[in-house]
Amino acid sequence: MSSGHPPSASLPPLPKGWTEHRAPTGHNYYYHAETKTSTYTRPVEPAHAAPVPNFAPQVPPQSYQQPNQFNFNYPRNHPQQYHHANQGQFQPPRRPRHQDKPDKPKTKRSIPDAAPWVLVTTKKGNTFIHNPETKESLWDAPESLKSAIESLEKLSLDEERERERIRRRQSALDRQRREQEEAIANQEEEYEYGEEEYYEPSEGEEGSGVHGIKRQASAPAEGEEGDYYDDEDFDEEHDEKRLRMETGGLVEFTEDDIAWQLGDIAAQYGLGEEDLEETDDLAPEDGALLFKDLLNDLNINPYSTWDSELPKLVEDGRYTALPTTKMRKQVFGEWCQERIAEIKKEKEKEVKKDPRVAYLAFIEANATPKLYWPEFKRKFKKEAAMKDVKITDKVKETYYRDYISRIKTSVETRENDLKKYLKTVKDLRRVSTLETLPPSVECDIRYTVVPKDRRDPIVEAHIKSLPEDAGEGDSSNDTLERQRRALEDREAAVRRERFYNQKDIARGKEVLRETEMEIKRAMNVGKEGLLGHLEPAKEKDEEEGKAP
Amino acid sequence: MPPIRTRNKRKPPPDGFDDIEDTLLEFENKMKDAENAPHDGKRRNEVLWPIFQISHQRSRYIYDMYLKEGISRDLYDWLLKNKYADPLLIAKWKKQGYEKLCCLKCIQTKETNFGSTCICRVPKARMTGGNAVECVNCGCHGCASSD
Repeated sequence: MSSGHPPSASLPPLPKGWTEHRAPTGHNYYYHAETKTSTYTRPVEPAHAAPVPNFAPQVPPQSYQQPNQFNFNYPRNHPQQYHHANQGQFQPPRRPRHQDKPDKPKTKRSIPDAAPWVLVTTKKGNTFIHNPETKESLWDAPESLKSAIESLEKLSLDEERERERIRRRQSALDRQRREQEEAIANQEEEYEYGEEEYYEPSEGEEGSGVHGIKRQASAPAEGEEGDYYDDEDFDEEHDEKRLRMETGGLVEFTEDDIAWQLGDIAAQYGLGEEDLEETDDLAPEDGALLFKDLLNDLNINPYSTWDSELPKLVEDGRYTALPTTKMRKQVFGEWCQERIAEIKKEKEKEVKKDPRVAYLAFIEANATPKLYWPEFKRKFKKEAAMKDVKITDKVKETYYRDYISRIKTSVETRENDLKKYLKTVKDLRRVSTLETLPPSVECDIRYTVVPKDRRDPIVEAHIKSLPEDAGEGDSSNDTLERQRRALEDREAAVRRERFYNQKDIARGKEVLRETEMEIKRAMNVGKEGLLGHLEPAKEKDEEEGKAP
Repeated sequence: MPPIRTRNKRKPPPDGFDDIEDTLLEFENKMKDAENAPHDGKRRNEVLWPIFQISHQRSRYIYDMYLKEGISRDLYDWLLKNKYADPLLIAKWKKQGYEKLCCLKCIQTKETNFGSTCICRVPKARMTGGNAVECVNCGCHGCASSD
């Protein structure tokens, strides 16, 4: 019960700074915010200067004293503070509905010996008395009713203790049952908390009338089902649910009553009419966003399935941001697609490394001449480098055997081999460093087989000895060279062209000369006339006929 | 004798296999458990239901991943070739009206006396009587597209 709430009729008012709270077990305790002390015994006015410092037995038991999370001001009946404490998870600006949710009557009990009056407990744990006949509500009970209420409260306290005892006995059983239900419910299509049934053995013994005597101030502001499902305290949460189930059936107000009382309470809280509107359902888009937020926060694997990720989600409050499992599944699918696209982009940016590098590093660390390849393979078959499917077994084996055969030789030989090898490498540039060696060097067994402390100086020395023109620094030389070569090429081409041209001209002249000769011969007509031309032509034809 | 293709000897999977490897392993383990689960007290038909269900889930997972572009076409083909998913079942899912088909047995009309499909193919709206059905072939509760 908050300090804003009128103090109980029977008890003296609390000293300044003290607030009264109800522990989940049903006990009242008192908390001083400034000194951060709490006690089960009710502090009284004269003792207010020195709040009792040592009261080890009075500190609430460990079961609901959660490190980091439980703070004695932990206000089941202060929804606002509750949300601030959980800002990381709940993001108050998005869900304003919890903060200024109007209070609602929860249970109603008739006060004995004061016929029309009923004692009403609200969801936030406030109590007031109400006369259904005159429709009159009062926070402070008049003197004539106080004794009646007191007796009622006493009765309820006994009742609560009895209930507590039963509950403790049943809690183990309940939890077990709950786990079973969860397992079953995971497979069901519709997974709604509100639909779950709870095993309630005490229900039958006590009868429905008994419930009315419970002054249920602790039953906290549980607005909707499932909204408060944090993983803070399973048991506590469970108990609350039970209580809700029990009391749910007891609210027997008529529509009029409820409306009228709500108006009354709203006036107390200083709320306008529009705040009374039910704001239970989020817009579907907001719900989807909230749900995606949840998926992001919990590091859900987008390559996984809905079924396998579900247990991680259920416990969070935002799980119920969407009303049905179908919608949740759909949003999950969308989210997966988006996330996969993101991951793909990130992967594209990353530099790809040759898988053989990792394998060779592994060999370097683990290979010994004592192990043959099959033995080595069997011994390290569980290692990631050995399981890598990107390198075939054959390649792995070749590398291993090569490595072993080389490691048996002396270090000097290996060094010489490396030096010889480096001279043949063409990928190496003056600018390359030990970190940016080309993969052809890194994956060569002659490089791997030399111990790291000896090969690094060799490689560095070799890189330094590389000619300047191979690097980027002498680019002007390079261009000159290229120009010269281009010029040479061009000249050669021109020479070839000229040669062909001359040949063409020569052939043309030849043809011309031949035709001139022919004409000359034709002009040379003797006494035989045309016959002289014909005879040699015939002979020519015959010769030609023979030739082919 | 044909060559024995073990996991180590087969062609290495295309890129992206390690993303889905864990989930596939999960399915594999589930399948092994289902295969080795005791079947006392189960009906004769019931014994195979979990096998069908897991096989369906795995096919669905791979097909979904392919549609979401979580895996490349190469990898998808490789998975089908290596029997991680049932290509014939996936082929049916591409047809209208068969989007949620549970197993191929349920649309095999030749195996029924009256040339009909399985009870699980009947849309829920058309079913008379509120009893939940479990089909004999694979324990499906209904796989009509309209459900």
